[in-house]
Amino acid sequence: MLVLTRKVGESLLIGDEVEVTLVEVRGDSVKLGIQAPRSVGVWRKELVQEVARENLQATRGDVPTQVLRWLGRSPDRPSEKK
Amino acid sequence: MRKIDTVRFGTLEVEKESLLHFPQGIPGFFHLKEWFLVGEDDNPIKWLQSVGNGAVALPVALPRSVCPEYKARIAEEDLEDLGDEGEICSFVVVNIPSGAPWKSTVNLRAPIVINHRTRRGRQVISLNEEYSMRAPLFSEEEREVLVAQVAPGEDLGVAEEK
Repeated sequence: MLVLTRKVGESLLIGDEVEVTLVEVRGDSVKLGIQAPRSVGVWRKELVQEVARENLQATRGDVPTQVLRWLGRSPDRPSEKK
Repeated sequence: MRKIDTVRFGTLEVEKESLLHFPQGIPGFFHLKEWFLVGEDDNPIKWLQSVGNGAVALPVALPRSVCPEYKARIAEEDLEDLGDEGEICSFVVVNIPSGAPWKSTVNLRAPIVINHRTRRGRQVISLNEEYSMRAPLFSEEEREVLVAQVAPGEDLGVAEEK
């Protein structure tokens, strides 16, 4: 891994389209500004990994008719019974 | 018209104008940029089917059909990319474990947001930290009824992380 030192206000260029600016340092957190083309996703890593896991699992699921009926709010959805 | 072979739905003919473009892909499928929605009008679950990989289809639902008071707050940067708010609609990914539908969860935290005019979409992480990525789809009472219907004697509970 490449490790570089930057001061507040200084930037890094990744390729010629992605720019990362060090905005603020406070305690053990740093605030980063990121400029990137729309085709480049910028994500908090731990969150996007969780989303990816959920998506991958969802593609393996199947949708039985019982679930459909309930989602359709038919009378046999218990919470709809008054 | 474009012919697309899918595992779940066989060969489908899709109009070019119906394709949805996800320039950043979708987490877990970053390489897949073209998708389209499959589903029947009276079916609350739709499928976001990949064009590039016929085996990949994500079950999604309109948020209000699974969580009536749903209101995700989307970061400005994400909205900017998607365009006019009046042209935007959201879906949530539904996770229905095979053989154990009572353990279904829904990802309320990361809706899939689509601009229906530009046909561009992306999955965003909403600012609502109170929303879970694995919110139970059914109440405990509903789960009990489902288990009784589908697999009497099975354990209740929401899907465990693997």
